[in-house]
Amino acid sequence: MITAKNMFAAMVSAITITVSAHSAEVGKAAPEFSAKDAKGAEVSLASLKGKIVVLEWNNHGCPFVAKHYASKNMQKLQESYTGKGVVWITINSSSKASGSFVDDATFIKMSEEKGSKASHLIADESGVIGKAYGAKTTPHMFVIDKEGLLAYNGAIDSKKSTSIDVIAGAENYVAQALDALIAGKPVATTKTEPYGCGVKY
Amino acid sequence: MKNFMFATLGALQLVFAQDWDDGHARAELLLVSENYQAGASLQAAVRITYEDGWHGYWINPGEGGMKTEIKWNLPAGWAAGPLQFPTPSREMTGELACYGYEGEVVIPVLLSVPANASGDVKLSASLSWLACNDKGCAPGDAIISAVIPAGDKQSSQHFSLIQQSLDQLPMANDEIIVTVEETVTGKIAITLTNTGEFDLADAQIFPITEQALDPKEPIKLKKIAMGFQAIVNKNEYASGPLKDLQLLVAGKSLKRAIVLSWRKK
Repeated sequence: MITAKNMFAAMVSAITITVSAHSAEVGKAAPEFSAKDAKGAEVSLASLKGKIVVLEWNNHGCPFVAKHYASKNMQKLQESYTGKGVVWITINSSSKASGSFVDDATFIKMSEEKGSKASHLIADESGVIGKAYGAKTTPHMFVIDKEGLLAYNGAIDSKKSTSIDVIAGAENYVAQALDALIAGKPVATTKTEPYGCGVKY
Repeated sequence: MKNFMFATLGALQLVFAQDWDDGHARAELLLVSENYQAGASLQAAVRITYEDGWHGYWINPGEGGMKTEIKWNLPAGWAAGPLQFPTPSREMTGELACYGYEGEVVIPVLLSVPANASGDVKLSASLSWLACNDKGCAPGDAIISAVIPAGDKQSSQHFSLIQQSLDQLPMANDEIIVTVEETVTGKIAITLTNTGEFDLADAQIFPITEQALDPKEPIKLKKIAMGFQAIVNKNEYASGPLKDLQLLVAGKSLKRAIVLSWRKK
């Protein structure tokens, strides 16, 4: 259903966020996007060529996200890999209607409170980036190599649970993919089923 | 906030602990009898009641959900079998299709009592679940427990509730022949033959095997000349050709859901 409000939202997003029509397939070019981050800086995938990029779908109201932030697992990954030159982009694709929407200021505040070390935060309110990548859950993780090819699409790790206790024994697919790319080796696990809450489009 | 409620049933001193959590559900440990007999089995059940509008998950949660897990804390020599989940329904968490339950679900579990058991015993388990609605998800956990004395196995107030759930549990069927073929277009054709008396037209398939079939659309069987068939999209996370598949088939014309198994030859 198209309402005046939706139309307006679509127009606004068309101005601030553009996305190419590719779908997210491992081994192929990751869908291009350009958007303003929460602090107003222009971010485009094309301008990040030559760098490894992580996309992290986020909603701090989701217990699966809370598990990885309360344990500091996510922040440690962000800190460790941005320290190695990786660009880490945390994206919230919740729509205004969903009740999980965060505006730029709130997104920055929540992330700072949690000690996020992400390079950029993007409030993808219209869901265009999320849908281009087929982001299903929070968290849902994507790793893009230096050539702009999608190298990993899936879960953050191997334990589908909200319990912090299982993190230590989990296989972290994102860390594995990043370690491989940094070492110039092929990524062993390139696609897994993401787990978490649904993205609130 | 944890809120324990104890109900003492007259002189029998059977105690059930109820634990409310922020997981939008309540869990209880129910027993079929007021007493246990040493060396016998004791039928129990976990009852989970989800808040209106919220749902929890089956053994194959589908997209995004999470299985309900139990960790038992039983006296020495006691043992618990697996949770026997009833037929689920297909639920949607926003755009994610999943398999689970709304309202109340009674999940039977069989306990075995050691030959040397005596006196009052406390049976306890920690249960963890995920409940979701359209807007969000919340994890829940609870310690469920019951104190039960030795005795002559007199029926409890939950006898018929547990019996009803047991009577409706999906039952394995090894007479129906299951053929699974992957088509050139990447679809999975599931064909059931030798179906005998079963009318499976419009019956619904719930995949027990995870990451095999795509849960996005309900999987319905159609009548064909040789039996019944469903053509299904393959789960996008299936790795390589399917090697085995376990299916639960439920429908109005079936008194009880059936469980079918297929293994690649």
